[in-house]
Amino acid sequence: MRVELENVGKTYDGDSWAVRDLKLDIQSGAIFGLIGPNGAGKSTTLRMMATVMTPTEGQVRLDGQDSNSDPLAARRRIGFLGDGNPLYKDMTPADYLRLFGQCFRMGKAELEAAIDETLTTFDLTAKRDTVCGDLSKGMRQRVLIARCLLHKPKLLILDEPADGLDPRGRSELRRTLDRVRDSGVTIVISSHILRELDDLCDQVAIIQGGRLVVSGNVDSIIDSHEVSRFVYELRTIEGHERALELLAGHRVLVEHTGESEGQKLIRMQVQGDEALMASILAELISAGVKVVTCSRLRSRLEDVYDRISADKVN
Amino acid sequence: MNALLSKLPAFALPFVTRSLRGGRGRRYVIFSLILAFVTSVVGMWLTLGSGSLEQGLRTDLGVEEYEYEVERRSFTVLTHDPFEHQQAKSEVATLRANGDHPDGTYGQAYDLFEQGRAMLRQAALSPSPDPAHNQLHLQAAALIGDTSYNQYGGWDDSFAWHDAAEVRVLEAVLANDGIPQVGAYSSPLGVSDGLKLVGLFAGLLLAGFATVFAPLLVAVQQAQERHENTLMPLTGTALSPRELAVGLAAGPSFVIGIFAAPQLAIFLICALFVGEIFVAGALLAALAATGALFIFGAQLLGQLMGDKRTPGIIGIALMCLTCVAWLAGVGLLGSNEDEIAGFAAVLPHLGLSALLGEVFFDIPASFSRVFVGAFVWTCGAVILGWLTLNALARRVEGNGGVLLDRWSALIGALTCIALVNVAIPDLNHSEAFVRQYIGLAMLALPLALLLMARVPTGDGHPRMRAVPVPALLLEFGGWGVLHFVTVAVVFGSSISSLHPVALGWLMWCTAVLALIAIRIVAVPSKVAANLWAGFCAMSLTVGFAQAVFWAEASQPRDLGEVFAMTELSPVLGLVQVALTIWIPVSLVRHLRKSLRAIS
Repeated sequence: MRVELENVGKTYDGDSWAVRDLKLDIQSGAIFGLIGPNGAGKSTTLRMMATVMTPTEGQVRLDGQDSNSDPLAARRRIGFLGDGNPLYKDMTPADYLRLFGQCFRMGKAELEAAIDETLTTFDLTAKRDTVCGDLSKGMRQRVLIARCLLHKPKLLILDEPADGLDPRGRSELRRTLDRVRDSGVTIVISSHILRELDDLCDQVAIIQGGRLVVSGNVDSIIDSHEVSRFVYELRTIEGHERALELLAGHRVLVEHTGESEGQKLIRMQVQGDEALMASILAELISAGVKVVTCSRLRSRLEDVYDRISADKVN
Repeated sequence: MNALLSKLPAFALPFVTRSLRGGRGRRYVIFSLILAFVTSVVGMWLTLGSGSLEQGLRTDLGVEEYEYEVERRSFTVLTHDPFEHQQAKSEVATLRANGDHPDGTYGQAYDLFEQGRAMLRQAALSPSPDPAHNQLHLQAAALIGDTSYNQYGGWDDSFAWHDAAEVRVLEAVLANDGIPQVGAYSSPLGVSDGLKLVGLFAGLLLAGFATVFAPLLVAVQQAQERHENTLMPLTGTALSPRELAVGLAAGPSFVIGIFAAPQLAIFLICALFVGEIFVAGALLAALAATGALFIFGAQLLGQLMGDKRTPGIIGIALMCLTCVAWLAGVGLLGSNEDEIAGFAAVLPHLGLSALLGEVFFDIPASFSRVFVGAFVWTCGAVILGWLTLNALARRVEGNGGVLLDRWSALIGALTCIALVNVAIPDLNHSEAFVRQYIGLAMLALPLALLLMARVPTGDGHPRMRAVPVPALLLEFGGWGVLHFVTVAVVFGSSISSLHPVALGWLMWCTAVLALIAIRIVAVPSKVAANLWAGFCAMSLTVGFAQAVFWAEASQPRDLGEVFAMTELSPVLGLVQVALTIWIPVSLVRHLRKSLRAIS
């Protein structure tokens, strides 16, 4: 499903705007990341996309149709996991899915088949009759996402789905989303933890103060903001300790040290431009440090976000 | 059960299925059948049982005469066990043998014998004005023998020959030659009376299910949804907010319905048996309307309070409220005062109790106005229930704003005005101002609730919200004026009730009440601010009393009495003047400080 937001705005009090002039075009089958600090308007935007909130101005179009012309029909094609991830703790996953399937007006036979299929897809068959309160957090998250996909939506909207999950749970979530993407569903996901989205999303948008800062493919956004990052990886075969001593005397932040393929490795952030790095390199060599390579690392989404959002956190 | 579920509307199905999941439905059905069995058994046991407990309960319920009355009427000592029976027989034998009982000895038979002898003496000494009673008079004189001896003193010649019941008692005494009979006590009620009692119990349970248990369960469930934020995902489904609101109520209500169904069957069968199916239908209609209003009202309360109070607290508060309302309703019914019969228009429990009583027993004709009140309440409950559902749907939607639009609130206000005016009795000594002012006092709470529904709310911080306080004050004042005008047009008015000072105090009360209501909804509560608001609310009683004082003036009042406290002390008067100014000012200042804008 293609999702278009056309100058969408939302105000709760008629005066201050939670979101304004938001223009997005999310291609069908993509994983779209919505990034922004807390209070940037991510949840409001997602709620408007999910038709549970009406925009004060502008239009949300789903496959070219205004979603607010018939929100109930639109919701049948949307799976929405809102913020907070609430779950009925005294219901089993099967009962929970049945409740939501009936809320989507699914027929009995269709619903029971979908429950079986979804529980299998999300590896929850063994926990079918265990009350949700007894499930691990990762499993509960799977139940919640399974609920969103039960009625076979074309658009899956997830608001901070990794909130509160441990690394294993995040990894599970990532695998789940990969599976969902493979089935052709468009996924819109919001987070303020960028590492979650970096290599998962095809497209991202960064919003701040309710306004769109940048949007597009992840690679092109990183490329367009590459100039600002000065992180280098230094590989040496001798003089590693000496190198660290010398670096301590410069405006350099050592992010990581280690070993790779028999070579000592230093990852560092240089607080200056290429000229500073060149002078540091010359000093290292003259001090007897045997440098094999010195390469500049490509920026990450997080770095781009840090630069764009400097002094603009809500 | 599955066949029944498949016929449910789509919006109710998910929540009913949830309520009956995991074999709960089967268990509820079994328990409801057991409850129905218990109702029938208890009803029949209470009707036919001859024990003291059953007898006491029957007399308390008013379905059986007190035992001493029966004994006197039938001139028979009633015994409850073989020992007592033997004792009474022995006393009667003594009486037959000696014509009297030993001095200073107490016994049931002796006591009744003395009552009979006193009655015979009165009959013997009182000439009957009706010749038909001459024979009884002579028989009594013959039986009593020496009429000169009077053991007790008092009015010996005052037998009530005009009282047919007393004459029948005398006949019974004479028929037994002044010596009482002895009989074993057994319930005077038969199976047909038993059906009435069973029907009464079933009706009571039905009323309890509709007005106590269903609202309670729905409120707790809704509060739970709100408390745990589980409602939000449901709003993203293919159900509209209204469908969601009704569906959420349907789940717990269906469970209550399972318990109510057998009771309904018992109630209808019993009502059919006593031939009061029409009244039973009226009761069920009133119950349905009242139940719907209470359910949606309780659900709205759960929705509004769920994130501030735990579901348990909300449930306990509601339980107390409904129990007090039922006690008040049944208590008022017991008083049988015609003047308060109309209260059924504002206290549905009174009307429901009266209708239930009328199905199986007769309500005194003097109390029949209660049915007018019940009818008006039923109509009002339908309107108010609809408005409550609208408000609930808006709240479930979660988009903020007001719960009721201007016109819906106006309809609600008009309904409340009608209900209150039906409830106020027509007293001969009352003047229009009583109806106008007492009516306003009764309307204060419902109109304040309606005003609260007109205050815009939302999830955002109050400092980001604008509340049109002057417009709301005008709207609230307009409802009060509507009541005044309605009373003046329908019941007439008096000049004194429109005294400028009285109207001034009324306006002050209206403004303060409205500001308190707006503040409760629009501004987060803090202890100190709440205490001050409570003090302001109490000051309303002083202001209202002063308004009534000036309105009922039959003679011109002294202007020095505008502030009544000045009569007590000039200092107190000054304090009253200061508070009268400061109270509304402080409330406005608080609103202005806490909100983004108040206009």
